[in-house]
Amino acid sequence: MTREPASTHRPVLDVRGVSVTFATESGSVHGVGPVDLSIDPGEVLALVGESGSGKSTVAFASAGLLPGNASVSGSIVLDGTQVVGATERELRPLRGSTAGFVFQEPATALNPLMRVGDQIAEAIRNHADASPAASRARAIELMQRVGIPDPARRSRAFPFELSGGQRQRVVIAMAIANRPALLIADEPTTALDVTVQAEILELIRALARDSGAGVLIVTHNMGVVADVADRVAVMHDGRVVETGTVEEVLLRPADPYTRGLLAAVPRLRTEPGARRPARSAASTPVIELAGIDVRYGRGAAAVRALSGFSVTVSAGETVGLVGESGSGKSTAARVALGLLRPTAGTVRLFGTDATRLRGRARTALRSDIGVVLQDPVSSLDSRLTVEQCIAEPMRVHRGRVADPRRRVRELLDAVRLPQTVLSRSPLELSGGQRQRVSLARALSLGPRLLVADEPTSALDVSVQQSVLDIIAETQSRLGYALLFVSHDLAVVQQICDRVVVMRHGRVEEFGTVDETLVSPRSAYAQALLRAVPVPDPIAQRERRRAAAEQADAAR
Amino acid sequence: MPLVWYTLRRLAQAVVVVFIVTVVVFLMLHSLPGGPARGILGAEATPQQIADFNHAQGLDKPLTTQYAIWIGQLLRGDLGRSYSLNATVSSLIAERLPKTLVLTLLSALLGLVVAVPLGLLQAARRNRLSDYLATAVTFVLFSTPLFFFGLVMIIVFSQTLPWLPAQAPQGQTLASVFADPAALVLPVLTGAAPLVAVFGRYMRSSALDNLARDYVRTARAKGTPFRRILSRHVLRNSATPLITMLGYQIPVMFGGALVVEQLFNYPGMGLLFWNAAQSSDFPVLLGCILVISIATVAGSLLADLAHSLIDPRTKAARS
Repeated sequence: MTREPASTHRPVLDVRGVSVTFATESGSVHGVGPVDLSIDPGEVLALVGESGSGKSTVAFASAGLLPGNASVSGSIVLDGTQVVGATERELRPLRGSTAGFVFQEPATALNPLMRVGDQIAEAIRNHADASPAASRARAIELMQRVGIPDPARRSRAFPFELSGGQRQRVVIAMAIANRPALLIADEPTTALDVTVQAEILELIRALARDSGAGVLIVTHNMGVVADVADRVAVMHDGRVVETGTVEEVLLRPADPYTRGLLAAVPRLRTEPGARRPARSAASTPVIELAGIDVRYGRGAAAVRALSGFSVTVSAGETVGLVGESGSGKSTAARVALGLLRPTAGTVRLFGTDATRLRGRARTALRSDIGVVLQDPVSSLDSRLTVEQCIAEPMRVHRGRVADPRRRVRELLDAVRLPQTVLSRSPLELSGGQRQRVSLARALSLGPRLLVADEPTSALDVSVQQSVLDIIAETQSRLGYALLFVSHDLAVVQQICDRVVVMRHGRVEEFGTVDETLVSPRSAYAQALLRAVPVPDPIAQRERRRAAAEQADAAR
Repeated sequence: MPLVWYTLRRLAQAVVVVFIVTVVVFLMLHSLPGGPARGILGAEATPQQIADFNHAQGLDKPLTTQYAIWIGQLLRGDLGRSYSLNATVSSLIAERLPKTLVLTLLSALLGLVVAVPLGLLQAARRNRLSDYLATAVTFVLFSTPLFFFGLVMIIVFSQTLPWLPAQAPQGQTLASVFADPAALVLPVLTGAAPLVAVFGRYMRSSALDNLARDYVRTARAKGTPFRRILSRHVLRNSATPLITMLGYQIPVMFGGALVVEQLFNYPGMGLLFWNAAQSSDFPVLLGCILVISIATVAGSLLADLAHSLIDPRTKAARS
């Protein structure tokens, strides 16, 4: 470990010719490289790419935080110190001091049994000879700095008592506790709602500006890139394919991979668009939820997951359910699926009152509903083959399909999967392929209603588009009604006819896409739209300025 | 105060469970062929003597009546009289129970004191020689029958090396137990052995699980030394589930006490139970089982309460 003399203009992070290989049971696997990067003080570099591109590996390698089976070659100089080949003893003083880390999952990044103030104080005491009292006082200052209200009281809270955004602020407070030269943030807003995301990005931007620290932000979201980055490095298959200023890369991409990636990003429409032709609006609704209440618990402590929720979906129509986490959109989907009995209100499926049905009639009714869930890993049984997965509904509702084997093969064609996957386990497939298997399973009985709960949220943008295309294509052919739950407003704009905007279990807006997601009336839907970052740095700067003015005016 | 409500509800459940246990045990004991008379009076007893004994003890009444009598006495605090020992069941239990508690508590304490650091260090040094050695030792402890392990202890530390007495402290009072601490060493060691194995294995896997969690990565990323990650973060998170486990281990520990007390001739509940079972002493057996079932139910209740005091999240989840 050598410490070079400080120069006036030295990058805080200088990555030269870095390769990472992982030792596995079946030999060593090439992970990343060679990669070159550098970040100057006060500069925000976004490292973007799809899953498996190696972007997080580069970020973790920068402070020697890779797992034990990784070996790194090349040179990584972190604020004058060579990281490659350094021992744990040499690296420990750098971590949390020279480089601060922010992680993706605020829910799990904190010790659940330790008060958050103590966790921040620990970051201070790891590097400075401070008394417990002094470090606790400093922790409260830091919590104030990252925008946690009532920090003295909150510092005594356990992580589970804070919201996701507040937890992420606590993690940021730990990261900046020792005034690091470099802040490394790995997908810091991916698990957060858009409005919270906007606040966290604003905080990271302000911290970088005030402290002069360099920021390495790892993300897959081009809107986030446009919002915070000065420069961008695009990674693909372990290599950096393009580096440049944010305007160059997002507006005038040179590399074909970057161009393809940007083309696949769904863009938020801000002008009224060509409306999809209203389909069979006169026909009877396939599903009709009216005045639905869902309450958990009783008395004053009861949680109202849904109150007075209503929606109708007709054949061939797509209705989007949007809202932030906890708004009740997944609860509404569960009610529609008949998995959750509402406390009050009626569910009419295909013209019958489903809340009154029992036993066999209920089962028969359910056979007309298909479902696709968010997580492509856990929504398929990995002990079954793909063929068994797709055929399962036909086994449950025997006799509905004359020739299940042939039907499975037709479905595979419909979701554009090769016949060769039939005998494989879902575990051998990629995320996008698994979601297509889920879709094929959902369509196996020829449903009249498809409920899709965040079906593309776990997928990369390039894969997301193909899954959305298949949904649109099968819908126009089969004419099912689609209830589409998503937090991604751009996707919902793209595929839905009508939209329900939800908040705290209530319907905030209900209408066509243009009415709800282009020029909404409610302040909430407007704020939601404003918070979505668009993948165009110039437009995004303008949106941010307008949003700030709105906020000032509101004050 | 949700904790108070929770405790009251669990106590009510506990009473029901103990009641069901007494019914089941009562039925099982009384469906044994022959009844207790032959065991008490010996092989030479005449049919007349047996009938007299049965009549005197009320054993000729219908089962439901017998149970009603027993439970009625129980509610007045009377557990009956031993058939073979000239004493009331409650006085026998009052004399023996504290001794067994001393033995099991010391064993549990020793088991935890050894197992928790052992499992933690094994996890920290996973797949190194020391981990493999500790795993081998715990597996041997785990798979050796307790009476055999106890015999080996006696042979090694009492016969071959005359360091420790092979017999546990004797005497009526609890003070006499502590008057001879050297004699307690082998029984406590033997009682602790299976607990070291069970808790050690559990602690190792729990610590490994926690070492892979995100919060450990966060702690590393802020420059926390590995020793402190173990002592401040992983230890508490992985030892918390042990508290619950300890509560559920109470019947197992009583089972262990049965063997250990027999082996070292330690005058506790285990030996009392053993002798009562040998001589068909129904009142004593019922009394012992009542105590053990209360201890079992109380153990799991205390474990859950302790868990909610240690882990702040359970409080929120329950209310």
